[in-house]
Amino acid sequence: MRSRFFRPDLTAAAAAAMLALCAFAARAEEVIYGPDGAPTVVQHKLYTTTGRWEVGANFDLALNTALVDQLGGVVGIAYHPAEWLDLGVEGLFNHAALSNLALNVRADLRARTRTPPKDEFANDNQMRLGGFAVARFAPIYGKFNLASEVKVHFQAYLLGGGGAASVHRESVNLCADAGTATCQNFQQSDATRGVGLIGGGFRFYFNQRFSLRTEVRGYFFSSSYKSQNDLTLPTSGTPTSYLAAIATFDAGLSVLF
Amino acid sequence: MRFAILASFFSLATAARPAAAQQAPAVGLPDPDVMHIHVLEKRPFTEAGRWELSFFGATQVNPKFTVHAGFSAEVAYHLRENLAAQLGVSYFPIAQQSTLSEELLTKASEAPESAEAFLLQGDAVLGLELMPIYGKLNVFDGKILRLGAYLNAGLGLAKTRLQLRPSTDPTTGRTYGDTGFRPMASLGVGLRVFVSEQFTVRLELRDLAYSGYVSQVNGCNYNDVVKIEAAEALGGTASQLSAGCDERAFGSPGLQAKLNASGAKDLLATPSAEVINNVAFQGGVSWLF
Repeated sequence: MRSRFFRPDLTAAAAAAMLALCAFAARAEEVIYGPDGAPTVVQHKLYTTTGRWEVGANFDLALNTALVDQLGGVVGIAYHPAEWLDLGVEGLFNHAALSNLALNVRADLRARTRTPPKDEFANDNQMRLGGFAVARFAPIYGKFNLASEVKVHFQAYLLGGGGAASVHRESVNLCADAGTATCQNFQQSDATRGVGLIGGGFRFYFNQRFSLRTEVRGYFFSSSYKSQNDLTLPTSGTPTSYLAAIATFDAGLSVLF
Repeated sequence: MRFAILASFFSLATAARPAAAQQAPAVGLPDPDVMHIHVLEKRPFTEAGRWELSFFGATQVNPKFTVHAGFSAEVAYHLRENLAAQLGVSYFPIAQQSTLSEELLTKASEAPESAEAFLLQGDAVLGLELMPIYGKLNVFDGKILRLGAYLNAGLGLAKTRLQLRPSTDPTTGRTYGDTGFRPMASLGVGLRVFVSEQFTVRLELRDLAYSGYVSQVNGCNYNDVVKIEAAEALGGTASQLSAGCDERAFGSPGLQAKLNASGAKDLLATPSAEVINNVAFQGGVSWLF
């Protein structure tokens, strides 16, 4: 028996209305699922960089120069043509000097003699000033929660570039004065070198404008030391070239605008 | 029936309203900064109750007087989602003095103290791992990956040695002396990226700390190596050595044993109780099962 309250046309209209409302709700609450089946929230980046300029200032500390203490800063400006790429220029300014280890070695040097011939120490390069063109390639964007409350968005990137730097060298063991007396002046030189640069790092966003950058970089350039030196004669010795590498840790602030 | 239909309609319409409420500004709510909506998202899988087998390549990142490179393996049981017990072993086939150490010896006739030149051949560490930070990342706006940042700490044993002669020595080449086992502590920080439910990529920085105190090389103390050096220089064999001292471990009789004993003598002359911090970067993969 059909109920007098059951009207097919009304039921169909009500069902259509309900489905429409559900559809609106579904659209508004649209959830995007990752490959692991979990709903995910990182598809839409909270902080975007495309078409924006970035100015950054980092402090810079050499990690692998046992004979040299090198500390300074890097400032730069870059443009982001895409989310995953920025291109820019940077200037490097370092205070560099021989380390305590190098000074201890000097203090313990034996009396200078003509023979046997001695080689100069390598890796005594002091990179004091530099200018570089740098590209950052940032394929990874992510976020994590600190103590379940504070969300930190970040980018991970590789960087590469090239430029020129002023490299000062102060020999640890070769004297600039002839003779066998205790050395008072050690051999020094200054040169401008072509420098290659590679590295990687993270950009942690405080907000859309400010972020913290941490990087590890490797600077590569041609250098040399003198081998087969007569320690009493500064002009003696044969230059031997090698590829010098200075690894640095950089951290600082950048501003996107 | 009409009531039932209307009730259903009302309930579905009500269910649909939160979406509209999200788009429209809230009316009558307190300060929005005070209101926090926490979205609880169930993880697609959990590590709790699962085993994890990891393999790493490792290299020392603070090389001054020593260079270390090798590999390690680790098995872990995840007691909870963010806590695991782990047992790891490492082996460093490259454990030698750095170029700087050899430069010091050949160019300035100087050498680092034995503690600074201490070499780690391998270790075994039992410890715990805590992973308090959880996150996600995507690659080129495509694949979504989960990640976890963790801390670990452990205690174990380190197998050590000392380099007695530099690689530039024309008679002996690079030679080593055994200095036995040392207690070791390990402290690490790392990142685990879940490529799938089973497969993860791990990056880790680990500080391996162990005592640099050396009193014996190849089982011989300072007095023993002085006797060995003198005896081998004369083409003989040392006598009245202490128990456990292995003269032949210094090399073939004659010049080679003399030079190695001489190197050991220099290193044993100034023992130091310094604690060595060997900071290693490890990169590897793991399998959860």
